Amino acid sequence: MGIPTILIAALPPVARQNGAPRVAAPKVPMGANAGQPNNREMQTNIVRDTLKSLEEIETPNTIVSLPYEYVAKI
Amino acid sequence: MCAAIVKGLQSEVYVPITPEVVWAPVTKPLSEMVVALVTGAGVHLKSDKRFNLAGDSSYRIIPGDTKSADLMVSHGGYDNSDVNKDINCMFPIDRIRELAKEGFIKEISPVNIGFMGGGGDVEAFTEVTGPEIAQKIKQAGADAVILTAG
Repeated sequence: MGIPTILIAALPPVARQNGAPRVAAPKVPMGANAGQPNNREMQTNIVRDTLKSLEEIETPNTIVSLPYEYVAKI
Repeated sequence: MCAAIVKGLQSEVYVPITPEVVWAPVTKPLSEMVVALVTGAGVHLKSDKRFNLAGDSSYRIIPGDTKSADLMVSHGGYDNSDVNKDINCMFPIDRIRELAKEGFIKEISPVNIGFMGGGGDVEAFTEVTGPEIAQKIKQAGADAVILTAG
């Protein structure tokens, strides 16, 4: 029996193309997939919702959008 | 008029093929799950060997009780400035432990993994590194994995 996985993706179309089984997609840039640095609340929400999505997704290759946004000042 | 049929023609445009999805079902509630973190973001212990930024298909083990201050990134394929400020934005190890403490999950896996994705020897990743990581995670007793990359 395999281990269920979920990917937190900054580039969800790439994840879909690569056949990822479950994907959570907050609005984040690559390099801060789990949320803004030092923003504990955003990171906790992203990780918590990602785990909920792991339980809830029933169709392989599903992407769930998460309602958190971080625009990096780079 | 007769239509010519030419066998073996191929498009000049590269068309990526989506591999078949590998699906493992969830078999227990979150509150009973040991959760592992696996990242392609180049995370490893400061005391561990850095990745070769030109391409590296090796991986590093990150124990579940590692202090986030003892972690770093070596990865040449993305802007590291956010993750250098706070490793949790790519490897949310503190957040996972907090969620375990509040009982949302059971605990963090004793074995978590960092590797450097985004290039290198794709065949080695697919045929050697990937299966080895899966084996380590399974031996550690993890019930689920959160991945970060891409």
